[in-house]
Amino acid sequence: MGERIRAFEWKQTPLGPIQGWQQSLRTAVNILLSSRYAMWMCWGDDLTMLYNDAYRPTLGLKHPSSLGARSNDVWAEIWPDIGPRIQKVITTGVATFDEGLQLFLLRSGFPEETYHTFSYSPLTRDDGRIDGMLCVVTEETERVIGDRRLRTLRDVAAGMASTNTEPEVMQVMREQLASNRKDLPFTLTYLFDEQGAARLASSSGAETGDPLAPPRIEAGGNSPWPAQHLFLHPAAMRMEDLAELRQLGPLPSGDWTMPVHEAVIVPIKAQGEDRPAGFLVVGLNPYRRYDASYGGFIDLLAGQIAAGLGNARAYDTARRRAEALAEIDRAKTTFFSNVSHELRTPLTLMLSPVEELLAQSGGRPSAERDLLALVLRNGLRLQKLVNALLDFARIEAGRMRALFRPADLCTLTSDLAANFTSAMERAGLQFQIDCQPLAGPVYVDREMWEKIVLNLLSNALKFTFEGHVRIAIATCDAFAALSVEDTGSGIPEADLPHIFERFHRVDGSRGRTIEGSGIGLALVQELVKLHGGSIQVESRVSRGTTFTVLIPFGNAHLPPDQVHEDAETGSPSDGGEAFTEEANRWLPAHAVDGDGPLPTARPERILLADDNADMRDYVARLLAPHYRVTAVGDGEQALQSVLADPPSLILSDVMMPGLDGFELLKELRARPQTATIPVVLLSARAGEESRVEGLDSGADDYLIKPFTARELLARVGAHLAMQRRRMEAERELEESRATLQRANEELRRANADLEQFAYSASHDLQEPLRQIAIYSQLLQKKFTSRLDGKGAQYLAFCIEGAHRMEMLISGLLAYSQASRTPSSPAGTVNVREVADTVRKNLAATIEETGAEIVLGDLPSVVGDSAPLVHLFQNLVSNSLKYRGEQRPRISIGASPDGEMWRFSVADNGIGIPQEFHAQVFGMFKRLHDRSEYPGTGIGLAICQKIVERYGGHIWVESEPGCGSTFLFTLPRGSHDRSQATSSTGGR
Amino acid sequence: MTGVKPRVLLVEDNPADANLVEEALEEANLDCELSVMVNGKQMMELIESLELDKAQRLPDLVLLDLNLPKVPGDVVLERVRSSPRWRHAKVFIISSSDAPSDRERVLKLGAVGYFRKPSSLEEFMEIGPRVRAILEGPGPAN
Repeated sequence: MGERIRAFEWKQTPLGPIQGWQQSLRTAVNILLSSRYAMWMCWGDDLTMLYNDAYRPTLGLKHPSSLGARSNDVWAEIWPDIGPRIQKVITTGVATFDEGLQLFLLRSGFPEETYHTFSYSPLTRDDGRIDGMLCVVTEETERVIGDRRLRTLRDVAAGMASTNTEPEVMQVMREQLASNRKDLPFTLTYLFDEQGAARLASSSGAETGDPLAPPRIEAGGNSPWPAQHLFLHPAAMRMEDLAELRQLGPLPSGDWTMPVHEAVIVPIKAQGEDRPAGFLVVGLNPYRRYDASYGGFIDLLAGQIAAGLGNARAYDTARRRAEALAEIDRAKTTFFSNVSHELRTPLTLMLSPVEELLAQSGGRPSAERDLLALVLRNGLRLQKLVNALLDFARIEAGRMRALFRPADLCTLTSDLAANFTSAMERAGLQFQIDCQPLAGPVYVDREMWEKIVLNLLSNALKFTFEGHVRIAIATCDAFAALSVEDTGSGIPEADLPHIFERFHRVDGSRGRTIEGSGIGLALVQELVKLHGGSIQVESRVSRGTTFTVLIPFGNAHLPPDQVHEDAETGSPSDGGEAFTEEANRWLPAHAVDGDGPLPTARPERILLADDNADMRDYVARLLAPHYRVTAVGDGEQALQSVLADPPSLILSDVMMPGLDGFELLKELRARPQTATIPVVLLSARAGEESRVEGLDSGADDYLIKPFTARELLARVGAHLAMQRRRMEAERELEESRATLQRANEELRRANADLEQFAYSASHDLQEPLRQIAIYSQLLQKKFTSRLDGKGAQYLAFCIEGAHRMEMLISGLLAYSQASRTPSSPAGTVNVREVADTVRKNLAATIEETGAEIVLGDLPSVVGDSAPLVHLFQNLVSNSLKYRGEQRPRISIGASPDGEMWRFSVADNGIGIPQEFHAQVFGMFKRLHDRSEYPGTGIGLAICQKIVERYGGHIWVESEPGCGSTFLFTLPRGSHDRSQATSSTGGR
Repeated sequence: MTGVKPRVLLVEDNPADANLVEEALEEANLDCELSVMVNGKQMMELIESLELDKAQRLPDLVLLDLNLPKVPGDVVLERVRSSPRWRHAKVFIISSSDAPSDRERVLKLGAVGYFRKPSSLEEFMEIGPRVRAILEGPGPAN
């Protein structure tokens, strides 16, 4: 600015040329220019204006024309505000101070809402007279407007925090948006329905009925706002000219005097959906530019609406769900109540006649009485279940009317517990009843108390297999405490919080039965609550469980109208019997062998595993006439029984405590001695069929309860018959296998003995034979002259016999050597070299017979040289020996045969008749008289041994008179590692 | 050779074979002093005693059977080779074994020859010329 001021034509202004300026003016201008704080000043009568660089943004478009102009011209639009202040400073010399003064500046082409904090101070001439003003100013527009918007956002957020419904959200919007009419001269919040129609949910700054704010915009309908477009393309839109809308009526102006002429429409997102929940229309402040900060503010508002609506909708969903659940629960209670009632009537009608029949059945057969007792027992069990359900229904419906009377809890509880004494004894449990007189009176509903005690005891018995069950009554502060403690299987920690929930049952816990409704403990808890008491459980798996019921002394905690002061007398009801009768059925006394030995007893024995004693008895009775039956109460017992004495067939229930049917099956299949026993599963649970049928269950068959007697017998009979056949076949197979194995073993041993014998015999025979041979020769040589013709003849026979014997023995030796496994891995032998050796070894015979030996291309094979020489030499000798009339011609050739080489030794000799082809390789097989062809009958047998030792095979192709071809295979060797052959092979 | 007859010691348990050796030497007109020992133990004792009695002459050739009772031939041979006095004695092996391993083992122990007892008289008689050749060959290096 310094430059600009220096260059300015000041002589055109009242201040005159710069050179003529007073010292005080120069000083003031210097201060102005050297400051980095925004400043402007005016001087002289015309209030001529000067300013520095920092002030330029405030001037906007007014720079640079403002320099040297009259201040009242420059700030004409705000002169009413600042003119008097300047006049005052100049006339009085007292400085002014204004903070955040709102001024509408015309510096950007429109009147702009701005805020300034400034001070005017006087400037004096050289003579001390005041002739000017200096203004130090800070523009605070951004801060003031930012604060205002932030406040709105904060208030909306605060209001939203306590909203749960859509109308509440809209109410907050209406109130909070109306409180900032400067930034939000008017707002309209529309919400879409499913079809895209929009409904005005909230508005501010617009009157109800204003044509700008139609209460409903139909999808595709005409309206001031492009609702349809936003529904399909949710993105912010700016309507820069609302002139058209002005025809509908005057546009709102909010806090301003000028009406809105521009609006922004932003979609309101719906959480988790593509379609927007609605849109927000905001009429824009006409005194502000719509910039990023303004846009961000409106976006945040739309976001807050979206969040508020999302919360409201989630809350609404949760509330509806809770209501639906409550409704279902009410329905269930009603249903239970109705059903229980409906069930009780026919049950009672059934039970009474059965009881009557049973009472009169003294003279009837015991089988019939047993059946009646079975019906009665199960009827009672069903009744008990129905009663429990009914109790529940009553409690839930609030219709359970208790009658609380003072009771001798000690005696009452002891009497109830006594019901269980014999059942506990039979279960092998120690049963301790420890009821101490109490410190104060206790009010209980007798019937309910019975249920509490009996349910807890029955529960303890059900899950305890050894140790004790202890029931105690004692004083515990202001309460009477009933505790039932057992040393049973315990409750896993994860199940403890749910143990009193209705129908909750602990999976996989070991119990005497899995019969049960899962209703007992839930009922106990409800009954205890009715007494104003509480129940707790402590439990450790495999250690035991203790239930403790606390009932306050006195009656102050009970509804007065249900309290009766007269003590009840009389013995406990017969409820205890139903409980103990049921408990008795879980106990193992019923696990006995069927109905004893039968006249037509068959060897087949069936193991029956079912935890329901009645089902067990029923099935056992059905099977008893035909089979021996062993019945057990659970899978573990079944497994033990099977291992101790395998039955012919197993009938097993699927659902059993401890080891269930599937697990039992798995255990049985995993053991070789039980793997093949047929198993038929019995299943009662609907939906279990698929699992039972599944291939992976491994059961031989299954029956779904209820099944008929005929069906059961048919299936069992069929499986037993199949099992019998299978076992017979297996036994036969096993026998023949064993026989074969024995024979093989003997043969192998005999063979080995024979070979060993052949070897040693030949070896040991050789020495004396050599002696015989050599001394015969010596005899012949030295004493022939002394013998007559006959003697010499005999000696010749002797020598010849010894010679043949020697041949035989060396043949046998070679044969037994040939069949021994080579001691070292075979090398590679060049067959050509082998053949050459053979030719050399047999040179004398070849020459004598005039034979022609033709060698083809001969490869290398895997083997050892000595046996191979032996092999070829035997075959060539054979050919030479059995030569025909014409000159012998023997060709040796080879051709590939898979992994092997196929060799042939072909001659033009006398040939071998077809029927002898297989025999020629046998030991001592000779086809000719010794006079015709001498030989031992071992040669070809040795050949076969050698070939087989290397994994090959040998055969002959021949016809009498047309020569013979011996063929054999030997493994291929590598050509480049041929091995020199030596002729140490036998002759 | 001087006028002194060469001494040949035959260690052979089988009198039939000993007889044949004698026949063969005779047939080869070998004028020698043949003595026979019938087992390995006798031979071992002879080795011991000649160690002590340096006055006695060592045999010029030992014909040793391998398959001997009491002490086998190869042990006898080893003993000969470990004796300071006998160490360089000529030993010729006569055996009924045709096993190459036997042959190799005794040749390693310094036998001057190996004769496999054949079953033909003619072949057996060849032992005569072989013994002659050995006796007439270079003497022991003592």
